[in-house]
Amino acid sequence: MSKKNNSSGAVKFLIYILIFLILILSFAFLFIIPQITKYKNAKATYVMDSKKYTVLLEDEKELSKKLSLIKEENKKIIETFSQEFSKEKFTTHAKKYFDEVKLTKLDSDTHSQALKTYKFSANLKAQNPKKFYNFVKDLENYKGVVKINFPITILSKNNHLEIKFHLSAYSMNSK
Amino acid sequence: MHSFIKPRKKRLIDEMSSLWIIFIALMSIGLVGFGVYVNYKSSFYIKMLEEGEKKHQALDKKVKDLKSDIQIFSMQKELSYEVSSSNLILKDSIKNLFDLVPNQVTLTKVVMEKYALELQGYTRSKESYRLLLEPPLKSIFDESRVEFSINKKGFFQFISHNKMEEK
Repeated sequence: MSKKNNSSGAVKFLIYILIFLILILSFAFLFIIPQITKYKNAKATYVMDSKKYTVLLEDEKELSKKLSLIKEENKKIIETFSQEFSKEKFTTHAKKYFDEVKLTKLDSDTHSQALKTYKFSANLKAQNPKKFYNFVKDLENYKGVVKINFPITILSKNNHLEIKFHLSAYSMNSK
Repeated sequence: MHSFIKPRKKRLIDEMSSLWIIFIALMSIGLVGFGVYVNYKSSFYIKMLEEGEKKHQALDKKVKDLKSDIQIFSMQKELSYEVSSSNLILKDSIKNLFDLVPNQVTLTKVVMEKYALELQGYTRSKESYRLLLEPPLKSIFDESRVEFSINKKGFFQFISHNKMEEK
């Protein structure tokens, strides 16, 4: 009787050990290990992302500093480019030097993402060539970026000069 | 029938089995608890990552905008210098032309290019051109040639073509 009890106890013990092991391994493989892997991946990604963020933050600080410096150094240039080109205003300005000013818009305007480029054909009448010289010289102080393009044709007619050229005017393309 | 021993209440589960069941249950609870804790930590990092992603994207956009602004302002600076220098060349070319032409020569047409100059006009004598205008033109330009003709008034009309090598 006692021998029978002992052997049935051993069998039970083995069964419980088996159940225990199956349960532990099942938990480990189906629940714990995937969770740990997920945790490790999430942490590694977070650490990597934090590092990238720190680098980006440093970049941002440096670029902000650089931009402020560029803005400070080129205040006048930036201000000039921010002026929208006005044909009327430019004509009024040119009339200070010439008797007649005729600006004709050309079809070759090009507007990029950052810059608007207007092109005009200019026909001017002046009493003497010095006026033209002064006009070009004073363009440096004009509130706008205007480039006079070669070729320039100057014709002498009766008592005046006819001056023809193309000009390009630039202004910033506001976002 | 009579029994000499008092019947004992039979337990549904014996003592050893109870101990095993309690042990396995406790271990299971422990493992589930551990798993839930690890899951909570992962969720914490995932949430932080999602929040960080938004901040990251905003910062990334700011950096891109800053780079673009720097590029635009640098381009404006370069263009401004280019325009100034081109206008300066033009201004100097006009000044040089005024200085070049002597009183004995009258110009009727000037075509000024960056590396070339065409002059049309008239003069009383070819020598005025040859002696007073041609030498400075030849010193400035690499190539200088002139064609003369006589007009109705008896003046020498000239067309002068001058070229220099493009830099």
